[in-house]
Amino acid sequence: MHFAETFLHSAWVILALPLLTSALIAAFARSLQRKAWIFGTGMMLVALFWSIMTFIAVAGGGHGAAEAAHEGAKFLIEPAWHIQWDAWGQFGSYNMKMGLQVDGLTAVMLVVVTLVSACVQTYASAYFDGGEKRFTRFYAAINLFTTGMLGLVLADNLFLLLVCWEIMGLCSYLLIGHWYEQEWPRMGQIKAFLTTRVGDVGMMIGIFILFFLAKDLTWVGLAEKLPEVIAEHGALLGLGAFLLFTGAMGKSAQFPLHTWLPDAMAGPTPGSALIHAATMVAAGVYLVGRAFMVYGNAPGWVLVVVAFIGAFTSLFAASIATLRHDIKEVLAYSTISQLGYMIMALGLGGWAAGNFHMMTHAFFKALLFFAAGSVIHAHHHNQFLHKMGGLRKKIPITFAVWMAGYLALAGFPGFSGFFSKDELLLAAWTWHPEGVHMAGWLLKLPFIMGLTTAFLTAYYMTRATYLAFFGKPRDHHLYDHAHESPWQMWAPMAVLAVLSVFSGWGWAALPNEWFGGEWMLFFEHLFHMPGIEHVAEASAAHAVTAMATTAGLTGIGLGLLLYKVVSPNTRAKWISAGKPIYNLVRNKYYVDEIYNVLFIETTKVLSKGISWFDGNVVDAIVNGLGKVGTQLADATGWFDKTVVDRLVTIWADISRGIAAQFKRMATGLVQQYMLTLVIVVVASVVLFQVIR
Amino acid sequence: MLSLIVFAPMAMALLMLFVPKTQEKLLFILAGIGSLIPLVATLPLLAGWSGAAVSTETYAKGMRFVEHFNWIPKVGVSYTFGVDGFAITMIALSVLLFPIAILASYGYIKTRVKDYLILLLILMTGTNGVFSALDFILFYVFWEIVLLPMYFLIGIWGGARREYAAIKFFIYTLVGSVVMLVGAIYLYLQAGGTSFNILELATKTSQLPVTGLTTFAFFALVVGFAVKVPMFPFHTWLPDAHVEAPTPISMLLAGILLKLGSYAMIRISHPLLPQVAKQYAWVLFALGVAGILYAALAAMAQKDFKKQVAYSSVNHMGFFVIALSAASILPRDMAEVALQGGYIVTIAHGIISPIFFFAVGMFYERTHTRDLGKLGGMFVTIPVVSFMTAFVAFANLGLPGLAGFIGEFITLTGVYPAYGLWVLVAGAGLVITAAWHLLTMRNVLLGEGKKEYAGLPDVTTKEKLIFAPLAVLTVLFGVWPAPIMNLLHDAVQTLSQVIALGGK
Repeated sequence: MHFAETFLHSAWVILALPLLTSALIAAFARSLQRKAWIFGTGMMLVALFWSIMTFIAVAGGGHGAAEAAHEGAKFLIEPAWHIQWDAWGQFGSYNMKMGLQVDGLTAVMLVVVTLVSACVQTYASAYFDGGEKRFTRFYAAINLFTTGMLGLVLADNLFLLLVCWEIMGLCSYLLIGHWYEQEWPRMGQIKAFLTTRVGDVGMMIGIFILFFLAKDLTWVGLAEKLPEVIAEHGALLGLGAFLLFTGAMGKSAQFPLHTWLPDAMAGPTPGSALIHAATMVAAGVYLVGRAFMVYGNAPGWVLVVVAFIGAFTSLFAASIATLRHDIKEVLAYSTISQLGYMIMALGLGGWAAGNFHMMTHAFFKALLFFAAGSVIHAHHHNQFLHKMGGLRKKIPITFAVWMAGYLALAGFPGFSGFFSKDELLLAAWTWHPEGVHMAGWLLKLPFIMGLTTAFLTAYYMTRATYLAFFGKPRDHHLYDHAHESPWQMWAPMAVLAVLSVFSGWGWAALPNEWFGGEWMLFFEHLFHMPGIEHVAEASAAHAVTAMATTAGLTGIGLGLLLYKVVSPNTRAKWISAGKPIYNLVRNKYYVDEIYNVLFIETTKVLSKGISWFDGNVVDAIVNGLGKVGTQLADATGWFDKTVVDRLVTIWADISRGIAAQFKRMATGLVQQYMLTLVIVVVASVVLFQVIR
Repeated sequence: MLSLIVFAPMAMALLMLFVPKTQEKLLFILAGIGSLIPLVATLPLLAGWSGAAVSTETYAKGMRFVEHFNWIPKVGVSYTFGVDGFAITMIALSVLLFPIAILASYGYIKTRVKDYLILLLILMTGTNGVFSALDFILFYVFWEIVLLPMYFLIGIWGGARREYAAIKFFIYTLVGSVVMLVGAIYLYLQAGGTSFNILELATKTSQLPVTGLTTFAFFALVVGFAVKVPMFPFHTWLPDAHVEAPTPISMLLAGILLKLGSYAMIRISHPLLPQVAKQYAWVLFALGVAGILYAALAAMAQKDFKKQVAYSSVNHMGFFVIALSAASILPRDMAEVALQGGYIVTIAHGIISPIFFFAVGMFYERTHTRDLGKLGGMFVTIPVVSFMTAFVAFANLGLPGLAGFIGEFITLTGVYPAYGLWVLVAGAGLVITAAWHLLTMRNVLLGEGKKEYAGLPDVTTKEKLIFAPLAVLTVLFGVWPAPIMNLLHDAVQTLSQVIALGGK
């Protein structure tokens, strides 16, 4: 253990490695070229090793010193390792501390992120063909992204989390727009950045509220101070907690901010696997889990809202996924749906379940994206399911790993997704929201929605699997040219396939019951959140398992029935019978169209209007004032010329006349001069007296 | 030391009068030296900041590096220089931007080089003087010194509509400064007519009751400064001035000249009349937040790249305005947060906007157009220039990890307790700002390379030299804002105390 502790106490290296890698790849892009993948993967493997050692140290315990520090603080997992930097800066007179920390959740995330990132970097080296112009750019971005994600899970405060959050947003933007010569990536990247930005603004205001309440943004500080303010500022804390959640809605693509994720698929598939499937989109889930001291202390309605948004999103996105034609799009909606699952679990108080599913999902969804990428790669960049078919014979390795991912996602007993989904649904079944009174049917609604989602998930995955790998080839030209991918692609898939199958066994409640192996509850202990006591009776657990398994198997059965047994003609007949519903779902409930009118067009019109106003009203007033000024000047000029000048000339004429008279007086006679002088003096004196 | 920082450029300008105007290279070297002397002189001030003696005299309380001489004792005018955190950060910005602007002018300004450089140096004396002066009359003299060179710099070396822009700039700011002068003289008389020292004035005027006349005086000052900031609705000179001004002048205009307005509010209008500021804080907030949203939307609709960036200045300075407004009604501890945030916004904007204008200039020099409809595919054509532009665009839209974000974040943290969910309006401004930045990047940088721009030269060493220092600072202060925060710390405390006292 001592050996592993060394790594734990230098966990910052895990963050520094990818940052360095990214900078070096960017700096030496020209000389590295395609060798960037070896460098990137190598460095990431070091980071992975470091993470695993850290994980071992955390899981093994033996860090009692830190544990005693905040004993009894509710909703706070004691960090096993924590460093703080005091001199980062000040918010007014409040000292902001920057720091990193590692606890059970962080340790798991470290391993997941570095593992998937290493896999992605290996995979991408073969995925990009020789003509790829921006190979090093991809690797620099992926490593920067990994830095952001690792920083996010290591951050000991909300501010640093937000910074990393946005760095990931930037990388996501860069990777979606990787092929920016085309229109779709360019639109997709903007859509992704802006939609998440909407959530981020809400999140920032949530952070302001939390800072206002606690004058502290560190997890430890929030956990200590929020319980004190709840009595006085309960409603405000609730608002803050909800606004913080809007950030999670944006990042984790929850309804109504989900529309960007499908368009994020415009980027290269390896990038999608890492960012838009396994890690970044899970950041919202992580945020809710990490900031549970906020949600746990906030009024109960916040978590109820969180739960229902998650539940609705999962069902909504799953229904859309049933009718997608593009293999990546099916996976994208599936991701939204699964993220909704996790959010729902957290909202229901199933803290451990939500995070557990986040981990298993990272493995099997990254795997599915890899496999989809491999199919697309084999199929000359065709992504349409209806042009595939029968591929299992052509690309057997891809087929095998896809099946592992598929069964995990569909919740087939024994696969990782089965266990985590089971935990989720159990949390839904035993839901008892604190401080909120609800009708009985409402209490069970999340469970029903979750169960329906489980059914739909199994169905749409079966459909996609069947269309891609089974049946007869639908496009013979593409089929004939299909080829298995090189080892750089299938090796990472194999690693993830193993994890997709077995990573659930660390939390196999049922086998634990049967065999009694303590280690089988490993994750439950690792993910223990003080303040949440999870008690479920064995009978309830069995009932939920039975229902979930039935739902999954029914979904698989329906998929097989519709695509293997029923003929395409019959399918078409059935579709035309339910045309309105089919159209609604096929068009993704018209959310994009509604947003287009509601926000994009409105903003465009508003912005044109404002610009017109600025040029034609505000400026016109200024110019008008200027014009008034010049006209005033003109008037003055006219007055000057015609009136004043005339007066002057008149006076001049008068004085000339007078002068002429005076000239006559200039006779040279001294007496006359004297007389004039006297008259003038007398007249002056009289005038002076009169005036006085 | 402050006198050297202020007058060295002026002295160099005088010396340059004797250099024949055909010696362009020599003139540039001399101007460069003239602008570098203040930079070098500022470094020890920054380095020795925490150890420097803080004055306790009434004419310079809380100031450092004070210089004080009587000038016109009869009416209480004195030559008083002194700086606090608000001033020294601005001086640091100014002495950094001027050498960069002179470098950017090299090879870019081709006509009447001598006149141009002399005017630039006089301008530098003016800005540094405004940031150093503690006497109102002295302040006003420098304030007006700034005005004239700017008028000529736009009016002579500007674009097609330069004369209209220059006149507009001139009249706007002249009217502003005359109004301001009226307000200040009224307060001087109210305070007993013994001293024009800003700090001494403040101790007296902050005790005046809120009457029609003090309100008038306050708004006279604020409007005078608001024109410079520029604050909505006094902003329309800015887009025109920017569009017509040559690139280096745009850099200075956005980077340092706008800060004269924000600095003057911090130094004059709010310390002098905090009681009025408190009562009418909502006016400033309404204008500030309207400006944020308005300018973001207006920027979105522009077809001219440079005009867009100009509107973004109005947008960013709006954050400063709402921070100041919030600080004037908040209790001290939160007022400090707001003030600090607002001021960091101005500093960050002073670092980022010059290189944004420079980036626009790099495109204009190569393509001779700023029309967003005509540019396109630049990432393919000139990748390094495009990368630089993307970097600065992200900095400008407030990406965390870069300097712009820190200020906006702290500002809104501080503004929230004062105005609650009204910050959502500013938040909407953030989204729209992000939107137009992304759309502009899509239009200019992304897409297929255009044929007419094929073979354009990529970045030059000179351009890298201009860009690098500010870009480095953008990143540095984005990840580690402590240096700025430490400089500002005392000044923020003092000002929030002054404002809080006036509130009683």
